[in-house]
Amino acid sequence: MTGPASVKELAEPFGIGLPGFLKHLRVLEESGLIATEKSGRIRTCRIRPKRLQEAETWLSEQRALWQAGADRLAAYVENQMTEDDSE
Amino acid sequence: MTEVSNELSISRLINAAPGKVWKAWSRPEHLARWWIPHPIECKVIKLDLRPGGGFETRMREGDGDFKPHVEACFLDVVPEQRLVWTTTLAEGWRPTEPWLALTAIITFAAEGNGTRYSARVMHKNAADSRKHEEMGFQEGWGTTIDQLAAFVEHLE
Repeated sequence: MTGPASVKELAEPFGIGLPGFLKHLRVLEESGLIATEKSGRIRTCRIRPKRLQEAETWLSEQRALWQAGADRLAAYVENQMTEDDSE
Repeated sequence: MTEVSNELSISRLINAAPGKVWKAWSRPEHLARWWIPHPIECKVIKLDLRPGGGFETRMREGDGDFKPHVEACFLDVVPEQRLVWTTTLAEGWRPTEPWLALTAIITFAAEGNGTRYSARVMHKNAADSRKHEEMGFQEGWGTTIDQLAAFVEHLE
């Protein structure tokens, strides 16, 4: 399945009730990862690629912060701690 | 749909024995020197290295007040080998609503004459990450990527 799809279509392969499935969708929507739109009795869902991209960007920024921390730790241990500190 | 990973891993070979690297992590006077990038000042409030022990650091820029940085609880402590802490609990296993829910697994392993320092960091979800961006998290946690680049250049 690609592109926008209705809640009913999306729920089918999972074999769970619609109310339970809607709960999962709501989490994704609140996260901004999908958008939904209701027309008559049909709610259509679509992915928000920009938001997915942002989440990946956020994670790679976090990784950069942790890597920089490891680099600071290495620089500190290798250059600033004295031999006494290795006991 | 595309899967969004909430987990990151980093690793660094450090040219010192695990005992020395452990010391840089486990003594407040050492931790404060590298945990937060300069010129931001770091104050280690709690570093109670036992399961359930508190881990808290605060930070400040210039002459301002110290602001929250990390408030967490240690889950596992194996000297010179492993440190696990989470921001979803505070000291004494008390549940909290952190501004960034994460669990960090930090390992120290002998490799050659040095130490393989690794961190695996698990976050709660992508919604969390956006919330923290809205709260100005990037500034709070440490630095923007630009500042980071400037800092790394300064190191070299």
